[in-house]
Amino acid sequence: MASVTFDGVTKRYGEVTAVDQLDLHVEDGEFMVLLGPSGCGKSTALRMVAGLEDISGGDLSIGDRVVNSVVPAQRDVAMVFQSYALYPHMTVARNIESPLLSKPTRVDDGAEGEVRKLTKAERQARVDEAVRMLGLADYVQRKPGALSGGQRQRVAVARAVVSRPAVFLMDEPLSNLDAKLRAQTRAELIDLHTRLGTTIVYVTHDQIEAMTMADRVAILADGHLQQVGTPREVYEAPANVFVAGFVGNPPMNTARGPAGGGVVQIGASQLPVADAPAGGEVVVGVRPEHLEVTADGPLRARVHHVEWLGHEAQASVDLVGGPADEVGSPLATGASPGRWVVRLAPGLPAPEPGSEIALTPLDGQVHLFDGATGWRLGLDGPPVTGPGGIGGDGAEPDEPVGVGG
Amino acid sequence: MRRELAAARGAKVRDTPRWREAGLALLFLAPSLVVFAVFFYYPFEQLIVRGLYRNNIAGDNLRYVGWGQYRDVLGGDEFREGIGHSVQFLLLTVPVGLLLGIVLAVVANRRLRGIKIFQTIFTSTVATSTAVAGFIFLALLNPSIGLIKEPDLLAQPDTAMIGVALASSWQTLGLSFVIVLAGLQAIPREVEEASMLDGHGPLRRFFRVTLPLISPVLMFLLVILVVNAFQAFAQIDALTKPPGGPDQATETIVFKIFENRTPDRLGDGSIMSVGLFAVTFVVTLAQFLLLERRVHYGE
Repeated sequence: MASVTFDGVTKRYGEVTAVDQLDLHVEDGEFMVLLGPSGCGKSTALRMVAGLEDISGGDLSIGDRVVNSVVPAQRDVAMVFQSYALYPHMTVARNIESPLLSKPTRVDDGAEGEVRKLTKAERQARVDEAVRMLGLADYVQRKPGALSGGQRQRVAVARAVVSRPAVFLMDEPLSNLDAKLRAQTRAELIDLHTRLGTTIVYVTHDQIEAMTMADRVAILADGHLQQVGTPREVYEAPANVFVAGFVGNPPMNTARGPAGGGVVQIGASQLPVADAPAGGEVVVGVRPEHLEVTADGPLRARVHHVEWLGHEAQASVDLVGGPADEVGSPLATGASPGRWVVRLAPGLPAPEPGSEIALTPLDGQVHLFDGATGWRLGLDGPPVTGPGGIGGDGAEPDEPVGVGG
Repeated sequence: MRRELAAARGAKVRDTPRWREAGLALLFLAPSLVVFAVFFYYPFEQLIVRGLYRNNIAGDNLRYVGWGQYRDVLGGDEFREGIGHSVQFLLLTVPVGLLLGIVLAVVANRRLRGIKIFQTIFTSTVATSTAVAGFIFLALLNPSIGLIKEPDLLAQPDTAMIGVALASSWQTLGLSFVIVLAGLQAIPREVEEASMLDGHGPLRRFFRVTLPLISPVLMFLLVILVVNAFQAFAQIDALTKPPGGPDQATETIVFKIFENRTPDRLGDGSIMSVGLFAVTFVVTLAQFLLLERRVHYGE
């Protein structure tokens, strides 16, 4: 096992910078998820750890060793690819054995940390162990073409665990599975991580995977790190408008407006916010579940439509007076400007489309972001917290501010 | 009523009678059957029948001589010599074509700046006509002005086939290259990367991953090259003097067939053609039977 450290790591393709000055430390044994939309640089970052992409700048370390110019096979990492990348002409057993054939492998019976080539009997024992662990005993003599997507995925994981690498790298390994199998495999991967304790760097664009599996999540956008923290931290205290809009489904509602005198003007409404700055423009953020429909709430909105989801209902509403949209914000989320989503309390009658309602944010659940930079007020860069949610190298995110008045 | 009940119980109900399905199938097959019948089956049948007859030099006085003529021609020296030269040509061209095609394609299958230029250059021989290829190699092998002056490959009976094979290999190189390159480019990049992470060196990766994955393409190429080698004629005709010489050393089976085109020998030529078809068929079948198990067709 080993830690992984990105120290100012940059990757450029000609004029395009895919990853820009990435600073990130993955603790030994940690399950770190790199989360972000397509093209944010997360897969490139992972491939740099694997050695499949050259590094344009900075230092990348696995454990204490800088690996910038170390070939993939000597980095002590194993990778599970999105397409699984199994050898189609080999049986499951041969696929799993493959990493043991050519490169030295960590052994149990020798001195601690001893690494050498395995004998045929040792290789067989390793393959058997991986096959048992991943429940592949019935398929060892099959070729990948005769397996289902889920079985192939397990073979790919077995091929990764068989050499007991210091770090597992996983590039969207669940994206080709159906929803039910994905949920099941998520649980299996968490279980595997608990059993093996190996460091995992896991890339996904699926926030459910990130939130359910990660010890910590690193969120990237446009090649830049936005925030590193536990799933709870990034959900409860997003570092900027991008994270607020990316994490959570439906995402956090945001609206832009001038602040002053303890209130933020949003369209025709005045939202009292404790700690609102004395002047300037801010972006206000409130999660859908933190809005209540009340008789005299400060935010007035017109109901557009109501979606019934079984366990709850969600109302899409247009804020009356139409707040300034977010186009032009450097960290715009792309959410439709002025349209908010409200989670309706179960059991209460749903409001009629076209009717006007009043909304009150729950106490302490209004987030304020700088109107110019998009960063949470008090932050000017990505906050980084340690695996336990305490300590870390960056600035601490502010707590959500309370609703005043 | 019973039909509906059967359908409701999930039983299969055949709506179309079998003969009508067969008729429909024939109808769909008809266009290709007609084309094959006109351009392949009928001429081939005529070829076989021709072999049972003998003409005089004027092309008349057709008389039936029977299957004995087949025994005489196929067991004769001329056919054996022609097949021998064709096999010699095949052995000189096919392995070289395959090997060079693979080597060049592997070299050109890199993600390097400007590699497309090399890929185009390597492919260009496909677009070269046999006559042009022949002319180029006549110049290259010319004893006074050529690149290879000594030995004069085309002038010696022992080496003439090598000279012809050189030109032919060069000309088919583009085809081999482009087919193998297509195969290489179809290999998923992630599979190669997995192999790198598994610690396979370049040689191991090539033999354990790349080669099995392009084996269907190599099988196809092998069959094409072998069939082409058996049909070699134009390049030999263009390069050798007299054509098929010296001392008939480069007279392949197609050459022999060509020489038997006069009216009085049309029967012999027909039989040799049928013989060539049979040899090519058997060799191709053998390739499939022997190599099929080593070819990985993937998923």
